[in-house]
Amino acid sequence: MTALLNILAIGLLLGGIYALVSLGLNLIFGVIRIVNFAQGEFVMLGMYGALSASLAMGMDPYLSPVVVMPAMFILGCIVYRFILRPLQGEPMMQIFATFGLLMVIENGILGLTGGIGQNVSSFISSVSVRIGPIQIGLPRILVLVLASVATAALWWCLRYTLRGKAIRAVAQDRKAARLMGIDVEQIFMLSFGLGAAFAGLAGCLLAPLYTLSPQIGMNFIMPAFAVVVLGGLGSVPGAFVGGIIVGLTEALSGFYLDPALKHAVLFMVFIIVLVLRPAGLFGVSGAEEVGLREQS
Amino acid sequence: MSDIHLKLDRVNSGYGDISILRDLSLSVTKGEVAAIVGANGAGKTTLLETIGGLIPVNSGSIRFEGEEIGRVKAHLLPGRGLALVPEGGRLFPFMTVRENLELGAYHKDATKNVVERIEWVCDMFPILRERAGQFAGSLSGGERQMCAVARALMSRPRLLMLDEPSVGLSPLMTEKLLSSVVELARQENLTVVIVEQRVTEVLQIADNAHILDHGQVKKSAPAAAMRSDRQIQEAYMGL
Repeated sequence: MTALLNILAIGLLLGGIYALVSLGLNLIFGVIRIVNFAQGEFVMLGMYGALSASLAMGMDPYLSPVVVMPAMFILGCIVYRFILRPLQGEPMMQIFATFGLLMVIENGILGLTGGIGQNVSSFISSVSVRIGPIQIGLPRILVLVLASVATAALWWCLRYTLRGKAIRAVAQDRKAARLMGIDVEQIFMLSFGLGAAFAGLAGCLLAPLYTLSPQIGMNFIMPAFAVVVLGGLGSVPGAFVGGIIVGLTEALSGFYLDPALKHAVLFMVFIIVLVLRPAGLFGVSGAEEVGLREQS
Repeated sequence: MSDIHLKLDRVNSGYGDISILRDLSLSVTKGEVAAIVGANGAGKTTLLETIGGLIPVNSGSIRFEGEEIGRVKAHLLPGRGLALVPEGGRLFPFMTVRENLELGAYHKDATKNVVERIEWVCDMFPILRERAGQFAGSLSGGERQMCAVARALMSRPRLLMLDEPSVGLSPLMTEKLLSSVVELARQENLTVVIVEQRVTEVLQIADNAHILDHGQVKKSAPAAAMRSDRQIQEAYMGL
């Protein structure tokens, strides 16, 4: 029983990590309809941002989102404005461009760091909490809590602020959004910037949990795609629930079957959900087609 | 009713290399209800979308209230006093009726007194008050059109353009919708341009009518004169 509780806790906390990484990816896909292959690299940049803030200013990685998130937001806006916007109207080229960006960022960091693994520690790195029979590291709990807070905050903004409603409007019908006076290009840039900022947040919170390397983004991007599709393309609560499902699936299959099979099981579940419910668990059937309405 | 509110002068526009509007010239005076009629493919929707900034002007000029708007981006036009209700309404289907109305007042000059404005449009179309919390995608055809018109009115336009407002509506619902729009135009001195396939109905409520053919205005005349024109009756009214 204790073993099961431990596995469930690990799965839940891993799910928090995936949810956080997927949030930005989901926002970018939901609004701009770009599959951003570089999202994992944005997370990696966030991690190195936390490391840099720690080395340069002695800042704890859990405080570093204060500087890393705005920096990542600006980077996201620049990437959108100068790489993706010129390719507008050519969705396949945009996807290839994000793949190119992945390679540029990864190799750039490889060149800068020489590929040497680095660690960032926080004053809470070694603190753990006992809940009943299980012992959990405080940093992992913090990731889950902040993933929940970030999801709720993003959902609230999209639901209740005028700018958030404009983002949803653009996701549903770009032409109608223009007729309302919404600057669609500006919303695209804002969404991409926010997506990058959320990746930066994820990077800061994950930095104390992992050894940093230029390739670490790849660890997150594949499960993040599964999360986005499982939860429902463009659905913020879906990204969170999808993250938890993916985390639990990985943890349970890794423990009860074979750690080598955990991704195979995860993607089997992914395929089954896709076949049975193509819109994902929280996606609205037909939203995909509506979201693709262009200036036709 | 003598001052020209909207003036198109030798406008050419279309999609890429395909020209749809060809040297089209048209004038609409302030407070006028103008009907644009014509066969399928005549360029009626292209005309509205060109005025609305959705299709670029290749040459010629579009002046609204004396200012050139032909090259102004679509999202800036609601702030200049223009509102376009596209064919089918194009509501945001996964947003509530209330959210759709709020977005109608998105541009900065319209964001004041949004609650009062929503009440005002709901007084005009009371069913929207009942449906306020409902997803727009779940509305019936008539309710959808009313919501689309109400959403356009939220931006406090001085020129309202309607593209095929009768699509999917019963004749009774069409008459009701058009008469509401005309009543509003008279009350608010609003200029209205309506593109409509139901020529008989639209000629009854319009002040002037313009017949479009192959991207050009073939004939402009008072709607009353058009109604009694034998050629028009045969060609467009099925009489």
